[in-house]
Amino acid sequence: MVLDASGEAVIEDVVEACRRGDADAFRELFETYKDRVYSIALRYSGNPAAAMDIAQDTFVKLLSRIGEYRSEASFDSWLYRLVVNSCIDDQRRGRRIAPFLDGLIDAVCAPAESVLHKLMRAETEQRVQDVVARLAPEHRIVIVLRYTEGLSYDEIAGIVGCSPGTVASRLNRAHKILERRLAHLRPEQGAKS
Amino acid sequence: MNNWLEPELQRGLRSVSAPDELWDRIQSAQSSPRPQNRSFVWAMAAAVAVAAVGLSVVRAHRDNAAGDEAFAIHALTSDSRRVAFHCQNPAQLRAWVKAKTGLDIPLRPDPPASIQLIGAASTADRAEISYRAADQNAVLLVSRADGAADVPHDRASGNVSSWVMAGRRFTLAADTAADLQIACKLCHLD
Repeated sequence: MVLDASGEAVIEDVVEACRRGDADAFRELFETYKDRVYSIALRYSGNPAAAMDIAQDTFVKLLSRIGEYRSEASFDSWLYRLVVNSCIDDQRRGRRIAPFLDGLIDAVCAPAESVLHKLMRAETEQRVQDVVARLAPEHRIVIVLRYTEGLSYDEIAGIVGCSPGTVASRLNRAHKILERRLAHLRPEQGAKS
Repeated sequence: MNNWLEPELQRGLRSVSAPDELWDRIQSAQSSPRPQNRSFVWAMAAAVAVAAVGLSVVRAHRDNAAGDEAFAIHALTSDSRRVAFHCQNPAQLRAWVKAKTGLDIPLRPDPPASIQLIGAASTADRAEISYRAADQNAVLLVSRADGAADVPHDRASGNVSSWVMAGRRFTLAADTAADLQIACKLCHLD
């Protein structure tokens, strides 16, 4: 396997090895991308069990379809498309409900900060996730790719198959909806910091 | 966009670490692959659905094991599994089905880890329990068979089994015959 200056395997070589059926290469790809895939799945679905299903589905598809990957395109973008499609497939099954207590339970179990502060923060984050989970799919996916993965408009456009202008439009629309639904989180005007 | 929203979104939607068991699940999924030819599956599902509708029209008022089996296969292969009530609690699911259909399905109150309930759907005379058995799709249909004599398990095809018991017709379908064995644990002890 070819390593770059930092000692990491060059992703194209790992992909090529995976394409040849190298099990270690698949494990390498999994380790490289598992957090990104799971994070997108979790933030899109709002449900850890659904996120596990989506992530599993994505990696199984990766293995079965890696022969379709063309190296002139970014492997990241290709994989993001797989996970986005898995998210949409899962949504179509329509069998998910977002758990409301997971974040709060985690907060109570975490010892480092004061429980009250942790609870308030977890409640705020859960509220954000719940509101995002209620966005229309086309708005939700651009929000998740933007804020979970920090992708550019161009990158998002390549993944979801639309123009950067459409991405901007969807983000703008989603922001307006989120601003309205999360208005209670807005700091009061003129409040001292 | 207002300045306050972006940090809230970045915090609320931040990246997280994948659970360690994800790799095991992928390994498990690879060792028992799902059907890959989706167009074939859809064609089969459509054919089965048409057959189910035809059968239900012809035999609308009769107990119909074939219809239930076709319905079960369709429910299993459809990507849009019909779930009206999402619930992972056996007692609540049992109560919901009983309230909707009058059918009492003896779900185990403490199913093993290999059984993961998804939810239920119902019509006036039929209940449909959707769940996962060893990470594969499974569905249990229960319909009325008033006056019918008990009939032991009948394996209609490799992954479907039906039987009649106490005036109710049970139809169980899973992705594979092996999964069917595990799917039985929805109601039965190991």
